[in-house]
Amino acid sequence: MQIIEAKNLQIGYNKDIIHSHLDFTVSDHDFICVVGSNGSGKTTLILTILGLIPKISGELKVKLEKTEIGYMPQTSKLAEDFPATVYEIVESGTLTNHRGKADIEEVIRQFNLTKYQNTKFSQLSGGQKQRTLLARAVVATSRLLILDEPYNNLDSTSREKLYLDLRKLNEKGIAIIMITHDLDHSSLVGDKTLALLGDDYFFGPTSQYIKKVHRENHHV
Amino acid sequence: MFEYAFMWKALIAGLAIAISAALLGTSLVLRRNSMIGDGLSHVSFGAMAVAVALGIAPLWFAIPVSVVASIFLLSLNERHRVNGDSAIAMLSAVALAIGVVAVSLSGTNIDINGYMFGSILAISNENLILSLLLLTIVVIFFAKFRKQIFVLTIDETFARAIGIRTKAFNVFFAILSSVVIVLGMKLLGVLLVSSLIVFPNISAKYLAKSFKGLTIWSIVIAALSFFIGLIFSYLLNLPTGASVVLASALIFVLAKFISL
Repeated sequence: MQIIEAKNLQIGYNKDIIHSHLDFTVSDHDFICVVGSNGSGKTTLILTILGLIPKISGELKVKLEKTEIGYMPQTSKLAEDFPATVYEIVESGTLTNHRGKADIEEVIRQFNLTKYQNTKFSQLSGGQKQRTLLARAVVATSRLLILDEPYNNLDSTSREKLYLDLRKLNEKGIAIIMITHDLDHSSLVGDKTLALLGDDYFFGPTSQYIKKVHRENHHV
Repeated sequence: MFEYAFMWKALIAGLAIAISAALLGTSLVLRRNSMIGDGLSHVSFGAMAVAVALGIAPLWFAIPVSVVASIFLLSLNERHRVNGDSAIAMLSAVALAIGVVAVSLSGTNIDINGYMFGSILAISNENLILSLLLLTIVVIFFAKFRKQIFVLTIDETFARAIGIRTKAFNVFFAILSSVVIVLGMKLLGVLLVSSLIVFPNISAKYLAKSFKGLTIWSIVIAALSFFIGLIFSYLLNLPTGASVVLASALIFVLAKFISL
């Protein structure tokens, strides 16, 4: 079932257009990576999907409630020095969907954070911080998970681990939209790719995107 | 010293205001909106001076004016973070100037020293009742919405993404903060009242591991600083604001030392 449908979508901040004429759909079980260079509009796109900034024109149907979507912002956006425990942060994901203590503890366990649940967030390692924010997003969602550069500040082992966690969630039926930092192929882990390429864009299977990039590199 | 009625009034009203300010401060300070308190104190001084000059009841004029100013300052901060600072600086200066002009032109006999640095004798019955009412509202607001306030404070984008009405919360914060400033101004003074919002939280941050801990520590530190400040203000005949700020600063140094 389709959960997001965009037709001829134009996105931007205030009235500055960042990207025009985007067509794409997101269905249950999709795992989509959004790529593009800095300033190409990746974050703008997901903030538009989340309804946090208005679209400029075109059509965007999001057939989900806010309580069905989990969102993980970039770690750097968080007020880092704030005294908050891992438990408090994960718990804040349940504020509008009213999940209980058992669900919170289950998610904390799932991300191997039980040992740290009373630890201050600012004392965690990069990977642990990332897992805490992911846990908060996961406990907030039942249908769609939107992640903004979750691979930032992670070494390759932690990336691998995060990827497996995401795959597991995806197999349970949660659709995933994930921004990755660059056009590095190793980060294209989704089944589909949405690449924002200046005035152009690509939306389709990841394998096809990789072929397209190879072909273009060959021509150059 | 507590055989005097004015001391009891100052103590009760002061504690109510200090605790309210500390609770509101948890969110304002950690979102780097500390300067809003400073801007508001100048606006409420300007409003009070104009009210006195015009012969209007000062509190009932200053509260609405400050509420409007607070919503304005907050919206500035939301739109352009960088310009917010300069806007507050300009607004502060203009409001202070208006206040001073109003005092000069009207020829009323206002104790400027008391207004600037606070006076132990300043608490009226009206002020006392309003302070207790304010504390009640702030405590209920916090008890009911502490989790929403928490997520709003650490990560407003996430709060909006999961459907929390952050704008409504921000406006409510702005309104309550301006009332705290107006009520605290006579006791603590224009220049020092905003320290009630800032100090307890900065000190509590060194001692707390969780948001719950931060809230509790802020309340304890706010009450303690005010109590110590008030006692010294009485004993040494000091402006209350100055003596409370010095007590807060001392506790801040102590908290930092303990955290090392």
